[in-house]
Amino acid sequence: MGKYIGIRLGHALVILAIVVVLVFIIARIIPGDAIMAAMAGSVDLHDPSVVERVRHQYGLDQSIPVQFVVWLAAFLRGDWGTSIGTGQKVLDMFVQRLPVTLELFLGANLWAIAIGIPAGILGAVKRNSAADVAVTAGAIIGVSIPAFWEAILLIYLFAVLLPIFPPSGYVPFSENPLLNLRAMVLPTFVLGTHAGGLIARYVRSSLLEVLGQDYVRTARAKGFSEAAVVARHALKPGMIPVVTVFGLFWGGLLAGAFLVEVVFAIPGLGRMSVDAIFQKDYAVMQAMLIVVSLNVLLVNLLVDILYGYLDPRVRVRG
Amino acid sequence: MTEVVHPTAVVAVSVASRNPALALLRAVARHRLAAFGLVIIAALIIIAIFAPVLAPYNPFQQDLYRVLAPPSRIHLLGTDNLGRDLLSRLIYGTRVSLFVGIVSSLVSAVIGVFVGLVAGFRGGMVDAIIMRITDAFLCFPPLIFILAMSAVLGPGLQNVMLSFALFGWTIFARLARGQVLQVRELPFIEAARSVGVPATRIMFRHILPNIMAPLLVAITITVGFAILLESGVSFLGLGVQPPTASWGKELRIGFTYLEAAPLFSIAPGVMISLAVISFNFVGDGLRDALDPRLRGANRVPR
Repeated sequence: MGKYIGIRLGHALVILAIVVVLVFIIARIIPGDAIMAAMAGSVDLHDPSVVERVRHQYGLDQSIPVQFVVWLAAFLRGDWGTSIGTGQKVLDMFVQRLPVTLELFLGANLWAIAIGIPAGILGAVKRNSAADVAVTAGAIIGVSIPAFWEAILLIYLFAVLLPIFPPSGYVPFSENPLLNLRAMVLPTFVLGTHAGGLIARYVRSSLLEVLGQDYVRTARAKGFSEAAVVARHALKPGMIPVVTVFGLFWGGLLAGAFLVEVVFAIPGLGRMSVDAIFQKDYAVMQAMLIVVSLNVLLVNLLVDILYGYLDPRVRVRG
Repeated sequence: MTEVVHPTAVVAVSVASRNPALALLRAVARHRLAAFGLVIIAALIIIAIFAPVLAPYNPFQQDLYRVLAPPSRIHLLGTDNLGRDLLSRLIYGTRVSLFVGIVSSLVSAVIGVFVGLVAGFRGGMVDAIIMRITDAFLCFPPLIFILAMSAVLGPGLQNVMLSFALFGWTIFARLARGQVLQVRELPFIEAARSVGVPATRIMFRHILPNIMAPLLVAITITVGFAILLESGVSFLGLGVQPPTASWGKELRIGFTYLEAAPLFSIAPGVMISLAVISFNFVGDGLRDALDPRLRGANRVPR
């Protein structure tokens, strides 16, 4: 197990290094001098000495490798630069908005599990029935329809036609828990149905595979009821591969949060990043790309290790 | 070197027929959901090709006396905020979405398969480097990567497709490599190697045809995925530029007028969803038809 974790960790470090270089390259292909463009309003760019000073201040007069090392060192120190959009420190902006997105995330996970697992079990147990086709179709529809459209439909149904929930906005939980939860129902549901569709498909196919195993047939032969066979013998091993889905939909949830936060006007990381993209706020964009990819990388690493722990066969295959 | 046929070829389809493409089509059509998807995709392609004939109005023709008109016999889906016929705009939007979806997916597949073939066939250090780079790309959620790239490259349809391809190749590289590793050790490859067939010829002539089945599934699903992402990028305002009609863009404008003209938001979303769902249904059907392990159970042929 130790060796397996070591290999996974080594891979993750190599991948992390490539990710960091990639993000740096993406920031470098920006046409023109991004910082110059951003400064155009505040300083006189026709004065060569001013230009020289700004270039020096931001280290643009140094070679690319030096710039990379300087940028990385600063990033590791927690100096993520200053946003040209808000004038705030980028790290502070992330810390401020993280709880909002985290709440969205947790809520979405709850919906996803509550919908995805029972639906997947139903599909597998009642294989090829109308219920199964409905589960398969529902799961595909769940992952196919655009999150922002689902959000708009729900706003129309439950905020415009039947005003049960607010159409948009966000109230911090500490301020008013009830209003906070009411405002979060629709956004978390939208995100949760997408992830839930994915989970349902995995649970179904994984459980189907287990149900075809010899020991399940033995359990049936012993005269256990079908419900007991599924609950006592098939469900637990059938859930193991589902662990991997969490790694899969983690990144998808993040991306979904981008769109959902925009539609519902929720002041989280997604809204902040979309604003940054439109304002060409490269410090925020760069930090966002690193945070998002690091997040996915860590979850995948965790899933790999957990998977190796749950299913010893994986360790041997590496 | 004559054609090498080996028994484990995955391309074989359950139905005995002289034309494998036709047989595949028949197997997919038997899949209930896939048949539905096929019909919708065929309809969308016809709509895209014959858009000028089918659209009742010029999609760019503004009528400022009739903005946000409700559905009527004159404008079946009503008009948009500039008095343009919504139905005509959606019909023209089909062209954009299908084009982006198919082109992005195919470009990604060509690049990805090539990289994956090389990685899987060469192995060793080349493989390790290529696969770690692929893994690094896959750490970015696709929408976020494409949004960032679109911001860097500037808005516009070509840049959306370019951004997609810059990400999409990784999906195919992984898939192709995994398949190559399975096929590489089979006796017929060994045979080809032992009689001195050059590596590139083995890759493209002998390995590639044997990994076509899962590739076809992936391409189909990726088309839907690309359409979905394009609509998201256009919804956020970085995709097509006005006055071009795109489903995501229409939805964005429609959302502003949700209370006054709900159909303006609902109709474009129906189009996007139908397209994406159909490609996913067909992909699912193809997978079932092509995967020999899943055959049997319910879909016993004849």
